[in-house]
Amino acid sequence: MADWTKLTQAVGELEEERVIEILKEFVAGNPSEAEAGEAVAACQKGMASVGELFETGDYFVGDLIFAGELLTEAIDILKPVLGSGETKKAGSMVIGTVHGDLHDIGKNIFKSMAEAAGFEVYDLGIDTPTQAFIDKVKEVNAQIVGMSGVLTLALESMKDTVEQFKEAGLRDDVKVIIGGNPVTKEACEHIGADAFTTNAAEGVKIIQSWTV
Amino acid sequence: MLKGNMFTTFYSKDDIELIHESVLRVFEEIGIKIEDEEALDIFRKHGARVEGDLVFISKELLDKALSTVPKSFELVGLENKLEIGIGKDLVVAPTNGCPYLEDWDGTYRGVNSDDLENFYKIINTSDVYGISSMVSADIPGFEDSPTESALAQMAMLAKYSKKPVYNILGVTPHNYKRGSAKEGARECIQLIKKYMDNFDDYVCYSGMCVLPPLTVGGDAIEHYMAFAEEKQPITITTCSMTNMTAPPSLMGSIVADFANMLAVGVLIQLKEPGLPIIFSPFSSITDMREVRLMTGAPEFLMMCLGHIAMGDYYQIPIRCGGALADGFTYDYQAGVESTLGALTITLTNGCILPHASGDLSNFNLLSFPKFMMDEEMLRYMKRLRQGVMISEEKASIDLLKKVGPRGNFLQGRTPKDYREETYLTSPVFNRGTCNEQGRAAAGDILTRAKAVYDERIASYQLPDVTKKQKDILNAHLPKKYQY
Ligand code: B12
Repeated sequence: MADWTKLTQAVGELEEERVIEILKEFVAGNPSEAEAGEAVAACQKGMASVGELFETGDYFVGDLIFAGELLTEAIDILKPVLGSGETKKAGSMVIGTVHGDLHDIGKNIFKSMAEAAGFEVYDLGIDTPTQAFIDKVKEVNAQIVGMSGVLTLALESMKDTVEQFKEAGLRDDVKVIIGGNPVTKEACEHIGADAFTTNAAEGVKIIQSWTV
Repeated sequence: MLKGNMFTTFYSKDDIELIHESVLRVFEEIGIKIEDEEALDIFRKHGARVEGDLVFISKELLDKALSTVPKSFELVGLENKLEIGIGKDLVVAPTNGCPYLEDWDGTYRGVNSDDLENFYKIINTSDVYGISSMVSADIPGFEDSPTESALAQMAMLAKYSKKPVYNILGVTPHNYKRGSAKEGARECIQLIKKYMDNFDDYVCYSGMCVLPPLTVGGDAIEHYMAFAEEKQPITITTCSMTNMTAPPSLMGSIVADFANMLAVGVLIQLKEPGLPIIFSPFSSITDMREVRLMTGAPEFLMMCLGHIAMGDYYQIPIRCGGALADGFTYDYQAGVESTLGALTITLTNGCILPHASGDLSNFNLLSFPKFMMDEEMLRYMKRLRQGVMISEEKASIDLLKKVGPRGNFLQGRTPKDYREETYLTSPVFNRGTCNEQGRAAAGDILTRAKAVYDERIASYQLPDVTKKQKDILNAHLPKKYQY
């Protein structure tokens, strides 16, 4: 298959069915590993156009998340012909909306984006007790902790949680990122987190920089 | 007087029926998630189908519960009483819960307890607001309270309020340490009852949010139960965002929200038949570019009108709309958006115009300048509600005959007819000429608003209360604010 533009276009337009159809047909033709590599590149080119459309405001955050899922799906189809280069998770993290806070819209967006970027995300939900973060990190051996909150009081819960990690002797084993409308540089320092953001996409970039 | 409801411009009788039928389908086919055992028991006891924590409400149960909802009630304040409900005057209430502040000098910072004191003074010297309420909650200044921060915040509201009060405080482990959310919520109301020495009337209505879509969180139920057990009116709030916590269509959002609020309304009526409830939807569209709730959008007005139409259909008092805006300063955009949001309820039979002033950045930002400017816009709203006087006499045929074509109406003293129907602005708005003298005399709106603000702060006097009342509040107030 020499003309990859259709695949690139289908990925860019988030035409899930079309992408699957093209790839299945391609895989059925017993392609070489090199050809499969070309297919991946075509998908990635489509992803780049998704990114551009996001920048211009034609696509929204939901489309980005969907694009991530679509890419994963595409790679899964290509796996048998891709050869040995197995895909591994980008990293694992535990996230939750902190104690006393029930707002989870922002947390859910960040979660989906992190998952789309290949992270294994363990979501503890809302109103998460400090101990639950610690237990989960121990259980799954996560490298990153993400805390979300939009109430002003959530900042105190974030601080409590970091303190608990220190007491449990686990603080140095994890990187901590906080998000939600009230987080600021000052709050981040006060809480003792490693990074903060009010932008989920930026959050993903930060955790990616921690895991390479 | 208004002769119609603005919602009829957007919603026909058939539309309203279709929303109602869709709400019933949600109740029958999907159910509402109620995360509290006590509440689930109440539903079961009254014959509702309960599967796990999903409650299915039949039309019969809905009708039964709705039959006991009062159309209006009386709320008693320290110095006056207020009638709230369908067919009563529109009650205007200030904003609630904003964490950040735009100050007079253009700087931005967190709201603190001193700001709160000033806002209370402005609210309680205003001819516009019927209600005094917490424009900001859980802010610095209440950490070293003698008892609990939650109680200190209630005491602060009580201390500076002459008008009936509205409580929006969500009790959390941070502001109330000595017990559960339910105990804390009850103690907050008991404090007002004790201070007012009134255990019979409605003296404090309180609000709490459901958890859209189609869920009521356990924490919120604890609050609703507490308010019901204290037998005080309850506002059931929702704030869903299309495409995030509500369907992407405006109608779908209204259906889901109304079902969500109705489930709590039914629960409260089953627990405490006849207790006043008010529905308070603040849902709007999400701007997916920012992933933010847009409360200044035209869709917000139309969604609110849908809720007011449904409130009218079920005869449940509605509190919604508001002088809400999505930018971060008191500019043209803020004026447009706030006016749209205020008009929403002004031109209907809705009951409370909430978040009526100072609000920016979709509930996040409180602005001193905008607070004072909104107040004047709200007087425009009041004027709109008075409407146009229609009668044979007001047609002025005799006067037209007398003055005749090309005549002049400026004769004698200023007529009653002029005074009766003409609202003249307060000094915050300018109506002077645009020439150099006019411009110099008027100055800018910020300066004019600040002058009115300063005057009002200076004129404020604490309510005249007894030593006993002072002692009740002193027990909870931070040292700085004690009598
Ligand atoms: C929607 C909403 C609700 C919904 C929440 C639904 C849900 N499932 O989350 C409902 C209606 C349930 C609700 C309830 C309440 N709310 Co509310 N709510 C809001 C509102 C309007 C929007 C919040 C939101 O979701 N924004 C959109 C998201 C996408 O933004 P975000 O969280 O900042 O997330 C972004 C980034 O920060 C980042 N991010 C977020 N988390 C994380 C985590 C990590 C690790 C990373 C990297 C990034 C990241 O990514 C996101 C996308 O870029 C705000 C006002 C506002 N305009 O902000 C009030 C607001 C936050 N609520 C408020 C209040 C008071 C309440 C209640 C207490 C009201 C009541 N009395 O019942 C209850 C809360 C009870 C509790 N204990 O939590 C106040 C808070 C005041 C304060 N000083 O703390 C606000 C400011 C409104 C107000 N003025 O009253 N609320």
